[in-house]
Amino acid sequence: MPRLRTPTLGVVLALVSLAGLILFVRGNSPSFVPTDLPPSERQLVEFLLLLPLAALICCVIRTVIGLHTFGTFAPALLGLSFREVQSLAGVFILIVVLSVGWMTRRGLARLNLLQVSRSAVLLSVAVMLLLAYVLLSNHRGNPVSGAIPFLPLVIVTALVERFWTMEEEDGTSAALRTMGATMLTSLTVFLFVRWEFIVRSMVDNPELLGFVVAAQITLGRYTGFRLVELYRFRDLAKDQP
Amino acid sequence: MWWPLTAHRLRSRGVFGMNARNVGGILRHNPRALFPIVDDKLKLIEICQRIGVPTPAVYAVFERHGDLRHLREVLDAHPDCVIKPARGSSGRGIVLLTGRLPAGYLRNNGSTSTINELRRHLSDLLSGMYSLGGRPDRAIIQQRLTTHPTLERISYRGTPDVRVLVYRGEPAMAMLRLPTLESNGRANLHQGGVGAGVDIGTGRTTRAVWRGRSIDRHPDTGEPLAKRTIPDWPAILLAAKTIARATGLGYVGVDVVPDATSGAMVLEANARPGLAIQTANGVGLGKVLERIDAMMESGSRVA
Repeated sequence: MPRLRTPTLGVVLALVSLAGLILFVRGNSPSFVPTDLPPSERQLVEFLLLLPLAALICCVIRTVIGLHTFGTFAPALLGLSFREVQSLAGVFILIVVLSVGWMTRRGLARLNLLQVSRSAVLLSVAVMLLLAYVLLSNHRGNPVSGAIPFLPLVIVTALVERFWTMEEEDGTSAALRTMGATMLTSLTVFLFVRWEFIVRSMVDNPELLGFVVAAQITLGRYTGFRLVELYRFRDLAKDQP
Repeated sequence: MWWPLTAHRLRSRGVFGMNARNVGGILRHNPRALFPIVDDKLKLIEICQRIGVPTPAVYAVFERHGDLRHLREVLDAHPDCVIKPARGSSGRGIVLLTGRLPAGYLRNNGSTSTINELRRHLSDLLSGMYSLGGRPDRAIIQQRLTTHPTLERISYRGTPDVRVLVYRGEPAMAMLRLPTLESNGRANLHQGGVGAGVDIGTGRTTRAVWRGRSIDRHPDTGEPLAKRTIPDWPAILLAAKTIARATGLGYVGVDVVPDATSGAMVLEANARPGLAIQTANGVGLGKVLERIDAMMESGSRVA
């Protein structure tokens, strides 16, 4: 169990009781989020409400399971962007952009560019790919319309750069492992945020954010083992002479 | 259903996990304001020089991309050197040069690098490619230390160092870190280096781990790893203790190299020391830290 010291416990209890109180007092009266929001605004509100939840999932995966990802909250943003695309096409596009970006990065290594320019080139290449995808799907008669596959491009560019650096420094297998963990975390986030029940609950009861923050604080005091550490330290758990 | 049992056993043996280290070790004993002292190697070198703790000589520091045009002069004057980022971590971005060749510079792993390749590496380094948080960085061109003869047969192409974990000013645990073929001259365990547990009292190695598992012999040289006496042991402990107290950090890893000619030299200090030291020694940190805590309490009562 997470060890809670008094001030932390106080804040957690205050948050939970405040959110619970609002939830109880409000009863069946309408949510703070009006139902007649224009679609684009509603999309934004959903994104904002789901972001803390996605961050909480990242916290759990890091502190309780112990997976190491590229960037702490990059998987949260990626998972949410998969939701915007509304299908696994997002994952596919991401993989294509990443692979092309990686090949570009290999080529760029020969040009001796300064780091900022190099990242800018990577960003431009990613934009071109995405542009091609948008135009192509438009041409084939199914425009991507309002839900533009909004991959956080800057994050994707950073992913390519960090993958490449790690590959150079720690080897391909370490880089692939971290990339796999990043994808797994993004997919977990995606599975949660595409769940209509969760989206509905958050939009209808934004005060649930109080519970989310309370959970984040509680995790912040978790001092137990991460799941992967049970494996890492398995020799120390063996019978000792 | 093996894992609740494993967790229970690890806990009863005082093994620290990352979360316990972060909350109980780092957050509790290392004030954030003190991190810059150890995160920037140049600052630590300055402290070493001020309080008289031996540290490798600094030949040059590069701060701006424009200065890199002088790189050739510096390297030709000191072809035997180490290039390292001031704010790097886990040995990232470090290049060891061992000599000058007509075609370029000889590296410790046997390959050659041209001056242009090195300039590009330094340019990446200055841009922050290897620094904590990707911030712009400075490059240090420093004296390359040489492996002490007694450790030569258990190191592969690189210089071994001793990581001393100092808790509240007292050495708590130590390990000897040995480079391997896989670690490419670096002594960091997660990059494939060997870690050997060290008895603090005697300075002799007890057991060793490689890639998280126990081993008896160095994977490349085949030499036995246990019961090796580390040269200059008292000086290593003293240097680690002095530096830890000077930084003010209560939970700090100090890396010291027993150099073949100059003796114990402090390389760097780390405010977020890793947990591999537990596996290397086969002992959990919790119990050791508790013992030091108890010693401190009784000591302060007497005082």
